[in-house]
Amino acid sequence: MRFDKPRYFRQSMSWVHTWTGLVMGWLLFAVYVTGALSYFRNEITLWMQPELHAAAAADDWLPKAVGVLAEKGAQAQQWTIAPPGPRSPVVGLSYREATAGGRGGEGGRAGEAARGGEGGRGGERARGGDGEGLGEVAGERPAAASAGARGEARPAQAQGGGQERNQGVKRLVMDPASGSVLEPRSTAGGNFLYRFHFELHGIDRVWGRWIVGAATMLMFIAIITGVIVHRNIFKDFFTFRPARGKRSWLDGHNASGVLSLPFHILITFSGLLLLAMQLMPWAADAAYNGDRRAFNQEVRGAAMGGQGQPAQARSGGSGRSTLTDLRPLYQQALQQWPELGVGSITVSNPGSARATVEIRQAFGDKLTARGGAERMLFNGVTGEALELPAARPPSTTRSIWNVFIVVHEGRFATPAVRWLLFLSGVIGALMIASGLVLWLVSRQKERAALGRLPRGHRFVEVMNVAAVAGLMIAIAGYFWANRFIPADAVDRNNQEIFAFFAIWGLTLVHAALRPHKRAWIEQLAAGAALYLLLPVLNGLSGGAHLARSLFSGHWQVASFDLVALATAAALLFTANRVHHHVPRPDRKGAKANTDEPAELAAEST
Amino acid sequence: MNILIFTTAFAGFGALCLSMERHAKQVFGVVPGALPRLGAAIAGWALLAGALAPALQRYGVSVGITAWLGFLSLAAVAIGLLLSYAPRQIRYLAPAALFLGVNLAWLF
Repeated sequence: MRFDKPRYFRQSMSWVHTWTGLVMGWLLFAVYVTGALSYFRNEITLWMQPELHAAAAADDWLPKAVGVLAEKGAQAQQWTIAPPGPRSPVVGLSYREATAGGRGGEGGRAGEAARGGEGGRGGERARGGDGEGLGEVAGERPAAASAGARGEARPAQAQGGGQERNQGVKRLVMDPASGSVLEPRSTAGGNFLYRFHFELHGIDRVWGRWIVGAATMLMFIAIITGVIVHRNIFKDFFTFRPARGKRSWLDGHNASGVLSLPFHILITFSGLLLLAMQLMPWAADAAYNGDRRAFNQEVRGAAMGGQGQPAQARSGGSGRSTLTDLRPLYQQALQQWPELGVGSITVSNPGSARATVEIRQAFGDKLTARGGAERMLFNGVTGEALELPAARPPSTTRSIWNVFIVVHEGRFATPAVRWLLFLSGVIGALMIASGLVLWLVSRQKERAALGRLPRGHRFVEVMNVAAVAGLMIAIAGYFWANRFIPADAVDRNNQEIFAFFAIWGLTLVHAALRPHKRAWIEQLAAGAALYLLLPVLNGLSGGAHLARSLFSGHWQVASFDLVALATAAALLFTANRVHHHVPRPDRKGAKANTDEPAELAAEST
Repeated sequence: MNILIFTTAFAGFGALCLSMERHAKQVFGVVPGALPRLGAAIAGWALLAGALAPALQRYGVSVGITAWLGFLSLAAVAIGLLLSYAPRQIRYLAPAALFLGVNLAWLF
């Protein structure tokens, strides 16, 4: 019997873990950070549109919204009103011109109507397009229905995101208190970070998804092999021994991995599922003879549960008629869904005798019923409730798929759960960053024996600095660019994105030119300064400054600034630790890492 | 309800860390006997599982599972940081969390 067999296995797993981790770590760190930020992409977009910060909550916004729509969209076929909510302080209005694009087929309109509702409030509204875009990742996005879905980005984002795909729909943003139409700047917003985290940028999106998909697959492998490699996963479960060089890096890497292991597995696995249709469409291709559109329609049909039919059914004549007061209907809906609230109000054929009003729930509370948000239907003239066709419950397979997808996307999550997902993402990013540093730290001995720095190690040094500290600077720079590029600049969104990549590129150049330790300190400190001043910049460039947003309870804006301050503190702390780090040969001859002199003295006794 | 999920998970991880030799020594200075450690392990796992109940009640099945995992991460990190920087405090904080949790449980 050979007792050393498992050790061999562990060693080979260790090799796999080290190299998959290093090769994909740089990319995965960016994916984790931008992915974690995506949980708050509406809030980020809101911050990046300071014109909206002044919007105040008010009770009587509904008649004002109808007034605006009646004035701007008198000839429209359909109005959609997205009420202000915890994730959006403004009222989103949209109307669809009767003439646009002909009547692209009832099917198309049906999809649009259903989606418009599903779009829902704040988060859901922004996601309408993008979330679905990923859901139907099999590509070829089925013509009409999908085009409608994509357009459901938030009004202001639509300018950047999907306007060209969405002719005929006009979008407005209204201040609930004053009833005036706001004109926010166009911004790439949180959407850019969100899109970057699964399809990168500047390359074909299919390629981007392939790359991220491959990285995710390797991440999954790295997690599994990491657990195998971890020597005493149950003995050293919580162990973190600070200020002990390599030991500390290993402890930190282990702890950040183990303590939120369920999250890491879940997020990686669900990420794989989300991209699976992109990476491996063959099963669906085989079953549907390559007709991806048919596949997508069936998937969607199952999800929508036959809810796609809008309220055309009960038409009563075609004369003109005044729209009923929406307030009682809205109240009724709020009573029906006290916790989740209303996601959207859709008026079809406003002003005609066959007008209908459809009100949709903000979030479905069951993850398994994605796309099956509840709705209510009313006669648009009399205000009486109409009956709805019963929703088809989703299949078991679809339910399971939904759980994974929705968990990954944080859809339907309350703010508390969203924060937890965000924090878990941050822990994951720390795990990756510490792993990257660990690669270098654990080869210190090798370098010392060699007496020089091998070219490969230097490459890893430069990449580590740019991938970790550089990314943090680039994200901060992206927010700065948002305020420095004039609000009416042409092609503004792309200028913001250009700034992001230009800054990131510069950090790479900087990391290549400076000595390793100096590069870390300088970039971390620069990042800290940029984040520290973001709240100041916000106040100076038209946004609600921290004192005001805190005082008026405007948490969406306030928490952005607070997170920026926390990030600044964390970067500054790290920069300081690196600065005070004194390399010393410890007992084993390897070098210690982030030790402070005082602790060192205590340590050596 | 969120507090209840967190305190239960925190107490659970607290008990779990006391069931591990190294961590129990960090907290108490001495390693407790095998029997108390086994008890702590059982209590710990039970509490962690128990934290799922309020999460399910508050959020429904699937969001509940997500929220539960999130709170587990948070509680585990909290215990981990305490063990690194103030291990002895766990003696008081874990029972306090349990006490608070039990009292909160009556409220809901």
